[in-house]
Amino acid sequence: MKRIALFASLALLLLTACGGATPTAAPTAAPTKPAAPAATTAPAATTAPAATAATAATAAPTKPAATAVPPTATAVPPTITPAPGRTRITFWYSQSGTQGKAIEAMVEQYNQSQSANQVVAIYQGSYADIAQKLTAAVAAKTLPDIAQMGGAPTMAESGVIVPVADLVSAADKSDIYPGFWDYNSFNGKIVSMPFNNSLPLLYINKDLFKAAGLDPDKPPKTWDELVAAAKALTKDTNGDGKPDQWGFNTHTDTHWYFAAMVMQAGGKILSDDGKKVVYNGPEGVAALKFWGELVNTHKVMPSNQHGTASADFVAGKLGMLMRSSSNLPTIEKDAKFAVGVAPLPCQKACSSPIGGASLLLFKGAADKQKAAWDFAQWMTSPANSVDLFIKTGYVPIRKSVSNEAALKDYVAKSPNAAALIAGMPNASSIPIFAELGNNDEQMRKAIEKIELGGTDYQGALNTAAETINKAMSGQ
Amino acid sequence: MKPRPWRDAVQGLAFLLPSLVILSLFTYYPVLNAAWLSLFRWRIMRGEPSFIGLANYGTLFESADFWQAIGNTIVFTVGSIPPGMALALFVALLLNRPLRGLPLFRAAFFIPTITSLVAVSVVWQWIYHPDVGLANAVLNALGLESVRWLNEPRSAMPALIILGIWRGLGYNVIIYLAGLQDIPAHLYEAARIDGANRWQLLRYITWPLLAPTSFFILIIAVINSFQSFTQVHVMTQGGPVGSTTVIVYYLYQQAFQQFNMGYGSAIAMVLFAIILVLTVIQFRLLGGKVQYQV
Repeated sequence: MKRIALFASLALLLLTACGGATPTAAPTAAPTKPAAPAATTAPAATTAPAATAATAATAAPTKPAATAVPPTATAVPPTITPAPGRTRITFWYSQSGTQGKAIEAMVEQYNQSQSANQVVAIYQGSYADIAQKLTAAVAAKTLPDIAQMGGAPTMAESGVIVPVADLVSAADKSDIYPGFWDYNSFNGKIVSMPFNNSLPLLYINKDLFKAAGLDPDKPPKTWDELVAAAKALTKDTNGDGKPDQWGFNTHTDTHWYFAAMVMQAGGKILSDDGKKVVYNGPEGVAALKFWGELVNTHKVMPSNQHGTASADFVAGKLGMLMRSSSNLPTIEKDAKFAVGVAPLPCQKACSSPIGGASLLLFKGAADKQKAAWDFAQWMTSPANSVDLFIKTGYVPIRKSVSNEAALKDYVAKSPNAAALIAGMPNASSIPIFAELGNNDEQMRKAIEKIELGGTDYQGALNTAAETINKAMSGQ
Repeated sequence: MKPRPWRDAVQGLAFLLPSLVILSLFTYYPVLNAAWLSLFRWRIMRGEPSFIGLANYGTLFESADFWQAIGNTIVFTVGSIPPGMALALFVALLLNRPLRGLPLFRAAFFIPTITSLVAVSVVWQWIYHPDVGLANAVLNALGLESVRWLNEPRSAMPALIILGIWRGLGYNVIIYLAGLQDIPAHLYEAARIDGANRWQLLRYITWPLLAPTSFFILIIAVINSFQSFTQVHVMTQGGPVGSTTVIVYYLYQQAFQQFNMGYGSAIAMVLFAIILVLTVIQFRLLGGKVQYQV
């Protein structure tokens, strides 16, 4: 009898403890970057790890971390009352804080600017959250009409999207910089609409520059200058024999800056036929070697300390930081010193790979599809593109914005905005491929190995590239 | 009164029905579905699943990353549970006596347990900051060398273990306190009359009578430990170089970052099997030794 009772309680325990993958107990979006409430800015959908409730219920019979964390991104009940006679469409977006407010304001304006369509905007969490929710929605057939997504073209093969190539006018196509179209293409076909795009930037602490005898108006332009400046900025201020003010660091999305360096060294990420990754060539090795030497030879970058890099920069403990342009307003606000920005330094080439997210349109009733496309065009109009830039730091994607008075005024007032605009011609695209998220993870692993003192640059990159190439050919 | 088995059964079921429906819908069905899914290759962005039998499990058992994740999970479990339980018992014994401001102490120990693990992890990321963190300030004050905590493979897992012990302490202390208060005072009284000293009281009365409590804590702690995720997700993302990739984080990477749903489901099934086996073993080995009060 006792035995039966024991096993009955065991069964109960297991069912409650292991089986309890209820939506509320799933892991939620985590603020991995303490100093930045802003959204992530990496080029792939998968860079900011976070899980969501919806998909966890079907795929994970365990509940990771049964904590008291509230689910962050449950659908906010739309506040807009249905208006009769208007086509109602659902828009999932993924930005919070300053950026979220900017998007909400745009949606509000759109709803007031015309009477045919009504957009219901629903916040869905980080890029990773929204990617997972869309994934679940594909399976459950509960997709919205339009969604903001990072790495949107990776959904090209899902069969549920309306490719933007079928909708876009020739005029729009030539007005938007080609790099942004590349960023939204899969196998040469335009899949999604560029929306909020960022570029990686070199942020500098002008006060520390002056204190180190450097000219804050001349940020490093080449890799060698970067090393020289970083050396001057690395200091042991408390006399314990170890530096506590560092010259250089990058935010946690190291793969983004590394991919930029591979291209700056003259290399490529993906082969021309798009069938395999090729960054384990000599250019990739040169980039990884440069990265490793920053840590281990020049000792200007702390090893594997990207998690706190942005906060360290804002706290005045870091001279130069690589991070997305979309963090410019936040960093300028938080920092108690003069912040400068510059395009990423160049080597054989200059390269700033585009990050950020796009608008993805889903198949549905004809009137809703039409409304969704109308909304997408409105959101990316020259005036709104400039508006978004001023509010958030996401770059204006159109050539014609140079005619916008608002942009002229803003650039005249803000030298950092001017520097950002000046970097636009270097905007390039890391090719989008289905294994991109996986690839980012492999790149980060290779970088971690080297930062820990490894010198087998070729080996680290080969491991990463072979893992991805196996996945790309095997599926 | 005549026995009415049918009517009793129907009534019993009726009472169970509400939770049974919810559990079936949100727990049993997803679990079974995941078991089924684990037999498919399903890259979710690439159309329909294709049936591949047990191939996912084959890939899994050949994957070095999977075994590393299993190893990391075991290190985390073994590193955090025994010290955590010992510490919890120690604190519970301290708190199980008439002290001034006792509720305050009890609350203080419980606060970490009810604080959001995400918030806790962010704060501990700062505690572990190699240049300006509290942990190194303490070490330096004691004349010890700084540690690069989360930034190096050999110290990242210990850092997570320390956080785990700290966070789990409050819950375990409360359970132990409840267990301590269930021990009848007359047993201590009798033992004292027989001349038992403090150590003997602890060894021969408290510890054996706490066995059901310890057993409960152990089982719950092992189950929870094998499902650790949040702190890894926030603090290390499994790094450096995979040194803190625990099994659920590996599952998460596969299923939700790389969208290998079938493969992710296979990992989940293996995790389920591991926890089931571990729990059964614990019941077999320890269950018989536990003394329940009569």
